[in-house]
Amino acid sequence: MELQWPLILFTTLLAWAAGLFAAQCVWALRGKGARAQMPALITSAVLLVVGGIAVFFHLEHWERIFNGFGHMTSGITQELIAIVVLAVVMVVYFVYLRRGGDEAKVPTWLSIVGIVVAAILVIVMGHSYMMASLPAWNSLLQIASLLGAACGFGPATMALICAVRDESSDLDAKANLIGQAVNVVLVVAYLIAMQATAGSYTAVEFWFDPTSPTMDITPDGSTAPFSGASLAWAVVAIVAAVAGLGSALAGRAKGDWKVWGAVGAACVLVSALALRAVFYMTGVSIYPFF
Amino acid sequence: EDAEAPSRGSEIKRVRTCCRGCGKMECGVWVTVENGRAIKSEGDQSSFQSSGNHCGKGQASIQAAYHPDRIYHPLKRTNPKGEDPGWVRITWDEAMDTIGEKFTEIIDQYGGQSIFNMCGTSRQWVYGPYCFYKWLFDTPNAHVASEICKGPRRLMGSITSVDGAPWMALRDGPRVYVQWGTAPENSNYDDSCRNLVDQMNNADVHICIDPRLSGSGKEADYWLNLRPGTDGALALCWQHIILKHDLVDWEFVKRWSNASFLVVEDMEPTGGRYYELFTPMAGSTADSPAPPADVVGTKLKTRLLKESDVVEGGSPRKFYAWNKNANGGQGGLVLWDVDTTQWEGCNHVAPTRDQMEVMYAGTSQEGYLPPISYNELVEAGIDLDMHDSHEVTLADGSKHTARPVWSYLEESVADCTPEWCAEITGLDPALVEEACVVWATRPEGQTYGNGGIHLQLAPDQIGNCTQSVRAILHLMYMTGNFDGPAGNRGLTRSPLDEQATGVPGSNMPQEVKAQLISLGVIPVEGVEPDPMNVPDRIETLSNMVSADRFPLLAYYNEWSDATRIWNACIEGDPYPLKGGINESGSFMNMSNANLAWEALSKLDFWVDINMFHHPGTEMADIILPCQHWLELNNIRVSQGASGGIGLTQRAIEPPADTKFDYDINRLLFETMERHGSPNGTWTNIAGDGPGAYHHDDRLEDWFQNNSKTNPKVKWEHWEDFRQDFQENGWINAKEIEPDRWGTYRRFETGWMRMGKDACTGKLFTCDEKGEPVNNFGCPTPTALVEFWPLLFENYCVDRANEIEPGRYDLLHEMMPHFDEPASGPGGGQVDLEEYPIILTTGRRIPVYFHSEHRQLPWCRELWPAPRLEMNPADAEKLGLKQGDWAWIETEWGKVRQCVDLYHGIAPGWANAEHAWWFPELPAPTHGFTLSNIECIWDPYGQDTHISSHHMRGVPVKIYKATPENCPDGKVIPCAPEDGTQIICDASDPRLKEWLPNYDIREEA
Amino acid sequence: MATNAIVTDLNRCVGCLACMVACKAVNNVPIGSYWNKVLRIGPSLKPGATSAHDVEMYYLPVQCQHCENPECVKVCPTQASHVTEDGTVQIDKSKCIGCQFCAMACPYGVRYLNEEERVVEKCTLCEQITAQGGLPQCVIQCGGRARFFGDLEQGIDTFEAPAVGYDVDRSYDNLYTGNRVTLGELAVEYGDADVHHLPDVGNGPHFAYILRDREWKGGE
Ligand SMILES: Nc1nc2c(c(=O)[nH]1)N[C@H]1C(S)=C(S)[C@@H](COP(=O)(O)OP(=O)(O)OC[C@H]3O[C@@H](n4cnc5c(=O)[nH]c(N)nc54)[C@H](O)[C@@H]3O)O[C@H]1N2
Ligand SMILES: Nc1nc2c(c(=O)[nH]1)N[C@H]1C(S)=C(S)[C@@H](COP(=O)(O)OP(=O)(O)OC[C@H]3O[C@@H](n4cnc5c(=O)[nH]c(N)nc54)[C@H](O)[C@@H]3O)O[C@H]1N2
Ligand code: SF4
Ligand code: SF4
Ligand code: SF4
Ligand code: SF4
Ligand code: SF4
Ligand SMILES: [Mo]
Repeated sequence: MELQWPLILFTTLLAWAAGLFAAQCVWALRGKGARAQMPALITSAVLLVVGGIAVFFHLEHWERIFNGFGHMTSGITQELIAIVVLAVVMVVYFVYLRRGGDEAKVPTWLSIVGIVVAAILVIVMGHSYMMASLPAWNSLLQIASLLGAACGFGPATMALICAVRDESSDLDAKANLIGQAVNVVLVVAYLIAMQATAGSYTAVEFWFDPTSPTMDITPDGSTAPFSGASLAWAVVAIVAAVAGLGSALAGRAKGDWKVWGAVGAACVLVSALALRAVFYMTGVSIYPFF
Repeated sequence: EDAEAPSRGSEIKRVRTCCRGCGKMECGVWVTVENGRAIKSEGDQSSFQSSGNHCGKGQASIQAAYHPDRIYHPLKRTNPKGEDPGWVRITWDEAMDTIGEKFTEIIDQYGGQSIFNMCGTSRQWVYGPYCFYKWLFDTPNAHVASEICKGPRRLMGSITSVDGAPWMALRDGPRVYVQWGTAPENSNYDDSCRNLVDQMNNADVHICIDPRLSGSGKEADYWLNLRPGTDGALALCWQHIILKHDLVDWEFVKRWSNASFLVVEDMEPTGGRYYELFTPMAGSTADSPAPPADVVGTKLKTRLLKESDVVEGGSPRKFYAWNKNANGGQGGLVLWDVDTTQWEGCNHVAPTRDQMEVMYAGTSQEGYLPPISYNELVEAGIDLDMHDSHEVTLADGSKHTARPVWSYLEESVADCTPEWCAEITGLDPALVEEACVVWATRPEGQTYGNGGIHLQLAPDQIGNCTQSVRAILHLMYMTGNFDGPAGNRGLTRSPLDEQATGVPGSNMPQEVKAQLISLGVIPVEGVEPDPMNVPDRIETLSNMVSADRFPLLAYYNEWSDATRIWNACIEGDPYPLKGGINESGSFMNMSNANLAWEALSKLDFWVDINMFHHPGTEMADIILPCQHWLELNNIRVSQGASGGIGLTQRAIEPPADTKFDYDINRLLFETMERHGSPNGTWTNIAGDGPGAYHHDDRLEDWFQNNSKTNPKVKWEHWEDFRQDFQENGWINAKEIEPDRWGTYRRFETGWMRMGKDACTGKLFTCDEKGEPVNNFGCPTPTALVEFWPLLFENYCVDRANEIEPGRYDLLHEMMPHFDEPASGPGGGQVDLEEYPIILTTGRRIPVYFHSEHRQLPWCRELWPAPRLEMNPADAEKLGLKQGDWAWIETEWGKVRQCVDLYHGIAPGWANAEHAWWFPELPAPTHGFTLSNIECIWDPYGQDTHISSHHMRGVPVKIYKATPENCPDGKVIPCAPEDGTQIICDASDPRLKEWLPNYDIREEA
Repeated sequence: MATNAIVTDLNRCVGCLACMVACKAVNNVPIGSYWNKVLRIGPSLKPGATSAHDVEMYYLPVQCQHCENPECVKVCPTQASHVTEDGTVQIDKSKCIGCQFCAMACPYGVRYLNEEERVVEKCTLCEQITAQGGLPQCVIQCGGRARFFGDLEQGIDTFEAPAVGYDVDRSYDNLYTGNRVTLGELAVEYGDADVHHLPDVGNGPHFAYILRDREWKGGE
């Protein structure tokens, strides 16, 4: 499939938004980074909105979403619901934060709800791409890889914001190490899972589509992330994820989260975008002949 | 005439008509016209002969009518040949004035024969180049596609039994279906894809003879994938097997062929005059009996023993066979009399209807089957000897050995065993034998064959087609499938005939004119009539370019050898060809396209009548725009054996300055007449007044006239016919011509021995009621199916040997044999180390008609680029993958096509596409040099008898196209003129620029 | 209620491509896009082939299979893609937002974005014709009469193709509304093992293919 940049941006930014929001909930639970809460929430909301705008570039008739949108079995509908729910939770969160002023405190239940809803959004989003027709996509690890990105994005961004607001804590290092490690593992795991789908495509040794006489029918490896054009993207996804982990280690060692938080978030961004690129490149139907 | 041409307004009309998206099958279709615009076409189920089929290119062909690149006006060139012509719009008047002037100049300076006409296979209404331009310019020279298409089969049928004898009645439904060198699923060649699929499914056994696996062949019970170009060997082997298993239909062979005639090898050929299919004037009607054979017959000599050889004053038209019963069992001579068409002692009379079996009752194929009258020979005490030598005494007292024709046939195939065949064809000998036996063995009690051989194009295009086609014809004759149920019947007979409405009235072929002058019927100043010395066709026509090499061609007068024509344009040998006219032909259809291109560039004046620009039109001085099938009226009769009669009916108004071909023909005659040529006179249908009027009016004249003289033409007016067709659909020739077409074995009834044309073809002899008398058998010189063809003996052997002494060995030539084609792999001329792959070509592309439709979006998107089918093993060796571009090369040239890995063709063989050019590339070449396979042919690889070119089984070299070995480093072919790349994928946006433009036709 | 579908007798399909043009002629399909495509499968060597003679192939017309549990419908957020009364899967173009998730979800890739209308489209099984009692255009115009249209609930032997008309009503209307032959009447005998479907990932393709004496390639 061709790279669908609006969708790539959408999923990546949403994972970021959800990851950041969940991270700030964790920080709140641990009673850390109070002054970072409001900026984090705003950042997260902005990411959500930008991601949402990106997706419109994918739609050909977005004006029509107002008439008859909402078929429940559709992943897009479910996503939209999850987004709305998350947005509501964020608004509630905002209200609590405003009430708390500078010593922002949100109730424990709300933080927990925030984490859960953020995770659900990412899962629902990933789930909407689980299509039986596309073996490379039809994997729980595909969802997990988005969660991985969220785990990488959240702590890195939160650590960065805390550093800017002078609120660094031991949580920065701990959460980043765990988050980035999880991202590395899930990126690699999903790529391996994709590679493993190689046998599930319908194969015919000799066939011909009259409309494309110059097409080469020998398998070009487009269904495998570690071959052909997608190889470079797959390598970037892994290297960037590992670099993200490196940034966490560096952050722990140097404590300078302004730098290492930013570097970490950037690494996750590059890794996530690259992984999504691989995702589209290997998005080949089980019956790749038409 | 609103009904004919729906005018504007929001109405929907359904017009029943006949598709002409190609020039082959006459598929009946419905055209839907909305607000005056044709919006779709669909198969008409009343079209029984095509079974309602409507192929892809036919459906797409409505896009041609509205094409933005169509030619809408007469054009003249403003730049020298070889450059972009710089076409400029002119009026019809200017065009016709120039044409008249230029042709007259050429004729005055070099004579009429320096003009040649050109036509492809095209449409039924482009008959000018095939016949009446020859009359107009008084030239025998024509470059026409029949040379490599139908011509070989028609001609071999003509000289051995009847015109087009191979045409098989497929829709009857053969019990065993033998598909030979044809793939009608894509070609719809005289039978539609639907007919084919139905019949291959209905047959008990399906045998397919094709080197490559085809869409229909994939379902065959027996697939004989012979090496391309070796069909002759297989046919000889089948003859061998039929003899070995004694599967010969003896009753037919003895009663109705000349197989029992006695050959006297060492006798000087003798003879006289004989009626045959092409005898001008042969034909009689109740009120005008034909002049006797003695006067107008064709002069022929033969080594067959005749009464005139044995008895002083005997007839040359009485032939001897050996009757084993004669002289109380000692044996003796018995006569076949061609004038009475009777065996000595027999009095054959046509069987009556109730003596005939009704076949296929209740279907469109219902017809009558007379019994074979072999019993008459038995009753007359004749037991023909087919094998042994006998001593005969000639009138001069000399004694000679004579032996039956059949014994020569037996001898000729004695060594053609399945093993011999396997050596040549690469086939499994057991499979060859089994398939043949299955075909030739009749079920107990079945009085007719299992079905004929569906022999179509491939063997025509092998450089030994004369003998290969004859060998296959022998199979049909031997097994009693000639004019049998589902047999090889020849061309549909019909009282209507499209061409009859197009001919220039009482104007006539040169050879007919010469005869009439000689008979004194046409008085010519200074010429003394000499009725006892009427000239032959060949005498009138032997000034044809190439007649010295291929004498039969001057007799046949359909084509002159294409290569010789190009040579005459370039080198002026034997005399210069200076100009001519192309009406629907493509120079890249045989010989060698680069040679043709050079020749065209040398001409003083060349006219092209076309609907689209084409590499060929770009060499013209003037282009005349013709009309599309949606825009014209033309009667249509099945050209094969399917028996459909219908009509191409105008559905939309013709655009701009376009004209119907028949009307353009008339204008050409007119301008020549204006410039002083007496040949240009065009009379009306009745021949009694000037006939220069629009073709629609001519149709009316035709019906008025013919309904008076022929009761079968039951429509008094054109409009009656048109309405009948609109309301009731296709007409069945079997129903309206029960004698001429609805009856099988017409040699038994007297309705087979008549002239060539369906409509004007007349019985050789008839009574005052117009019923045949003494007219049994076939329109051959002996009136029988000729295993020993007199015309062949005369023209192909004796005359050829006269011109080039020692050229042929008589006995070798007289029976079909297999000599490898000169430019084939066994011909000894090509270095097989250098050119190791055997290439065949021609398999039809479902959405193209040769070079046509390449600019129609619905066609081109479906088949964007030329493809070369190769066995994957060969491809691997050559480092070629699916979709790669490869060079195909011979000593004569090289082109590129795109590789298609195809296990359906054996290693060592390959199959390329023909007729490619690229309308998206600029004039003048439109890229024909890039991929057109005709650019690589050996122009001298023709069949030695009739010159047909060799394009099935050509040794070539194939290798990958790389940036290093391609012009400008571009692997995908690009225009030599400006580097534009060809379209090779359905997604190319240029395809959309070719969508219909409905405005141009209004503006123009 | 019905379950309309097409059954193709692959032994009658000879790859003439008439069906591909037929669809274009009545459905306004853009140049370069297709609602049905005839793929050539093979030729390939037969299992155990000993010579170049032992090969087989078939043509496979592929189009929307009007599935039982269409993936495309499942993922469509607007219900533009929906299953209709006659069992076919249709797109209400006025509802389509062009998100193309349906195109990704279809296992056979038969949907595409119409660049001009900016909505997704595919084979409609010629609902505009079948609603009037006619046969789909690719069935009417099929060169080999290999295609048969009908209601799966009635069994595939009842599926219809145009008959070859001789002694029949020869009017234009009868082309669509009458003069038919059933698969049971026309097709050569086949067994259950000869009936195939395109690979099913839970979508349940309704179209069927009959292929005798040959290996079906590419899974069910
Ligand atoms: N779509 C389409 N239809 C056409 C035409 C067209 O250009 N396009 N052209 C029309 C014309 S003018 C004609 S004459 C007819 C011809 O139509 P057909 O008689 O059907 O002939 P082809 O399709 O040329 O070839 C038929 C088969 O011959 C096989 N063949 C190749 N070489 C040999 C050989 O050496 N021996 C044998 N036995 N078989 C061989 C090919 O593999 C092919 O499958 O088609 C007509 N119909
Ligand atoms: N290698 C190889 N070469 C082959 C063959 C093969 O099998 N292999 N097949 C051969 C055969 S069988 C044949 S018949 C020839 C065909 O060869 P041609 O008949 O010469 O080829 P076409 O490309 O059909 O050219 C027809 C031209 O007529 C124009 N035309 C179409 N309709 C009309 C009309 O109504 N009036 C006029 N005036 N013009 C019209 C078209 O635009 C086109 O330019 O090709 C032969 N060439
Ligand atoms: S075979 Fe020829 S006449 Fe018949 S539908 Fe096709 S293009 Fe038309
Ligand atoms: S084939 Fe594809 S588009 Fe058609 S119904 Fe099934 S899933 Fe939907
Ligand atoms: S593109 Fe249209 S039909 Fe397809 S899923 Fe989106 S809204 Fe539904
Ligand atoms: S059923 Fe109709 S829409 Fe579908 S492929 Fe056939 S012709 Fe096209
Ligand atoms: S029209 Fe019929 S026979 Fe021809 S390719 Fe299509 S399905 Fe096959
Ligand atoms: Mo031809």
